Amino acid sequence: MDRNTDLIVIGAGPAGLSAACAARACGLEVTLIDEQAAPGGQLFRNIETPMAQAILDPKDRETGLALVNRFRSCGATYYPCATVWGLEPHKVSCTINGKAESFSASYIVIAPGGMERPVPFPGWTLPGVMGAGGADILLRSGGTLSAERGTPVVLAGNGPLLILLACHLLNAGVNIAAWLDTGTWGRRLQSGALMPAGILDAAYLGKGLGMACRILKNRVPIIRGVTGIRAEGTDHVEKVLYEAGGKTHEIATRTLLRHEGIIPRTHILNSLGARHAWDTVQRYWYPVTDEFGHTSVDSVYIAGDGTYVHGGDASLLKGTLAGIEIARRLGVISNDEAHYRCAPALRALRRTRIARGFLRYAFAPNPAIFDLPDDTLVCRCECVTAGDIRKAVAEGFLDVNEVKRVTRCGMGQCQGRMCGPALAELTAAAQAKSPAAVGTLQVRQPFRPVTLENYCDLNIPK
Amino acid sequence: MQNTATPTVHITLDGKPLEVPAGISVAAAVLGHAHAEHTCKHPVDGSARAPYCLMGVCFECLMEINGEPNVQSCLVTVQEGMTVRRQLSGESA
Amino acid sequence: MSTTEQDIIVVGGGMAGSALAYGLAGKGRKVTVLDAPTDTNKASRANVGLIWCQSKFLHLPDYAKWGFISARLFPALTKELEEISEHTIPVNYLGGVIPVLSAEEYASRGEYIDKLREALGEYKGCMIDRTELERKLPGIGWGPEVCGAAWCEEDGVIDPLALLRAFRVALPRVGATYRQTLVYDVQPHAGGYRVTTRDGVFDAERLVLAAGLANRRFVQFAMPDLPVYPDKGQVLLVERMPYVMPIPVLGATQTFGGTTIIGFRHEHSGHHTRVVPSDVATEGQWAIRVWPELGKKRVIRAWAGLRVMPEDKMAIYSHLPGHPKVTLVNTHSAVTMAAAHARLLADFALGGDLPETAQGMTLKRFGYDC
Repeated sequence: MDRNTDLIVIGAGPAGLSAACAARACGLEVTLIDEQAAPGGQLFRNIETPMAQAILDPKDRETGLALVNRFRSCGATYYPCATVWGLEPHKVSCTINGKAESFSASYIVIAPGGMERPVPFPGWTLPGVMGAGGADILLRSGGTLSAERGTPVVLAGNGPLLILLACHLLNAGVNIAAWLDTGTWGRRLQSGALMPAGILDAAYLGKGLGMACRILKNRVPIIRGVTGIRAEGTDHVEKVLYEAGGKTHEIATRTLLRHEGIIPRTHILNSLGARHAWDTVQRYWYPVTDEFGHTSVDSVYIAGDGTYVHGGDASLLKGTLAGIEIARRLGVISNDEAHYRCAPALRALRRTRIARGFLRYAFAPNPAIFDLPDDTLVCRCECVTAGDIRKAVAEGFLDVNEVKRVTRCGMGQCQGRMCGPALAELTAAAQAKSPAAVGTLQVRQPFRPVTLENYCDLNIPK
Repeated sequence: MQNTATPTVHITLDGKPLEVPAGISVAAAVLGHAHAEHTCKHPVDGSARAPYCLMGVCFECLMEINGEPNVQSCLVTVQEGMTVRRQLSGESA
Repeated sequence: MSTTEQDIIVVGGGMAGSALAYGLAGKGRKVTVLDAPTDTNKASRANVGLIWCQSKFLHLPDYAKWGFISARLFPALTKELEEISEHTIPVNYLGGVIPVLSAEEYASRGEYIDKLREALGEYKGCMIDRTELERKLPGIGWGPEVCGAAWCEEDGVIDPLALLRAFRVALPRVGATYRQTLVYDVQPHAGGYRVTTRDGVFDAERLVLAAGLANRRFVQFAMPDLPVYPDKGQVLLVERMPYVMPIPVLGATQTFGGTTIIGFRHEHSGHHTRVVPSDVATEGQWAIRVWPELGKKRVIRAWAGLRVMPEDKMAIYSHLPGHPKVTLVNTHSAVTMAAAHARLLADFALGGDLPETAQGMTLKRFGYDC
């Protein structure tokens, strides 16, 4: 793989696929690398199979299939099942079928998408507790959440995607025993003022309302103002406990699905030292970019929910813009042509951003979800508790990297992907500061494990 | 239960045969089709663990695939004849 | 903020500054440590944690002796720190090995050890053959090329972050003040010294500069630069395996948590801390030859750090030219020397003499009058 190409796209979700298509439409030489076996990313995962199509809404199915078909015929070189573990400007290292490979290109678009905000709570490491997004993947893989159909599941959390996931569960015939809502009404009221702008994207608003109605029609019991969620059981969740209305309640279940919104996946950009900014309402870091996804690292672009969570429609537009902009920077198309090609996507993206502004408030995470008992395991890899973190802060270790070094929180295999947000929230709360003021975990490459053999084979000068 | 239009592959899980749809991840097969109670014992505290995210983030789905331990099984697609073992000894090696 | 009643300010709260501050507090002095947050170079946060005395400094026998002196002071110090800080410090005083992969290397290392023994008068180490190596570390499946190792019973390994944490927790408990801030400047002031920080100025009669490479800018009121340079190291971290290495192997050391740190590079290339994969891969291949099982294990991260390297490799303990109340500490072996720093340097920083073994370690050897 020693030939240089124009563009490497990492990720085959909506943003990555549309970036590859747009760049190909401009005549660029494009390589797309993705960790899944088939294109689609998370939103359109397994879209080419009947089992995924069965639980998706018709509109999503249509959009997803059209995109994947367009990509399949666009002429980009496609490497599925590739684990990317190294990235420097102009170079990507990955493992494909057990073999290490590296690719070089003038520009790189990373399209890592978003991930569910990981929120620890007592018992969250018990089997049977999952992210709602993880459960969705099981359904799209033709699987079921438990051996016997109809076994009740409990949903807990807050976020627009939770409504979509609940509809998928209903499509799959899953019995939702309860919906424990952890959102805050203060924020939802604030969102009201921004709601009229939603009319700019009436179709999206209508879709959301339609889904909400379906959930209500299915009589899913929704419990508001829930705090103190915990799972209990021996080697598997057996019951869920929570506080609501000043009382503790209990539900027997074998499946608890938690969702607290989507956050951008910033791991790769963090490892490159790219600049990020903090969103005070959504409480996450997002990379600082221009409208085309240009990061603070010169030849590296980002597209999709990895730039900021605006959702799938926006991801398609962001990918398109990045692909065209790179063709312009390479001098393949003129400034004028780039302007002409970008105009519709730019207009649509600006409209979508304004229209979605209210979601930022309506589904803002409640900071109280991080108000965890001391014995809650925060770092799943290294088994570090909330109490361990607070103790380190009390001893004078004040930023997340210092706390990490003395507690091992974030030092495990996942490199803080699962505990990073909670570590920052706890470290900040113990000092009455904003999480933005306690630093971000330093991410080191390789950002996915690679065997020492593979690492050495690829990197020893031949 | 499987859609007839979906081709399947045969794998073994802890020595037992399992037929699952082609194209899905090993973790999805073990959790969503074989309904394993858990997929590994944690090397630090010995507790039972199972996949949380199924999309490559949580590292809780580590299993032995074709003899190779500690593989992120949610990032590996099932293949005909694949042997999968859960890591139940609490040791990572 | 002005705190003229401070006896002494220690600039730098890494391994060297913490250890010396701990020693100073033990002398009943009012000590304030000013330490930078983590977004700057921190050698104390990037190292392996070896307490390493063997097979080095034949050309600097006093420095070699100084290492052994420190190693012998370690057990009592860590015990004391554990009691005061109420934190356990994982540590093994079981020796250390340098595996060798050829008969030539075996012979040359053996020769070096013989000379070192002669120079030091006493040396509790020797070459051991493969059988003896297998007996000492039975859990490791050594590669076929491994024919033996250099062995020393006085080496050891400590969890460096646990040691640093214990110092940090112990400091206020022995009466010292630890303060996280950014030091901007150090200048003589009103017969003493003034340290300007992000959070105000701190004044004291005496000063210790233990800020690692940052000492190069803090000494500038007295001298244009220090004979110290950034010596870049790069390492690979391999995933957790069952703990089999109570005796540390130089170059591929298993941590107490079960992960293995590979690397022994030294580069003088300015202050950049980028990992260059082709550099670390060379050591990775060496490690696979030593311990083949590592080959199939996963690298979970790589990082680079900057050692604080005096030009002749020997530690610098010195007053600054014209400033007898300013004490400089610069060493690339701050873990190994931590016990000596905590126990034996306080008097010097307070105006007394250096211990006999360390008397040649001042800036005089570089031609400075101090």
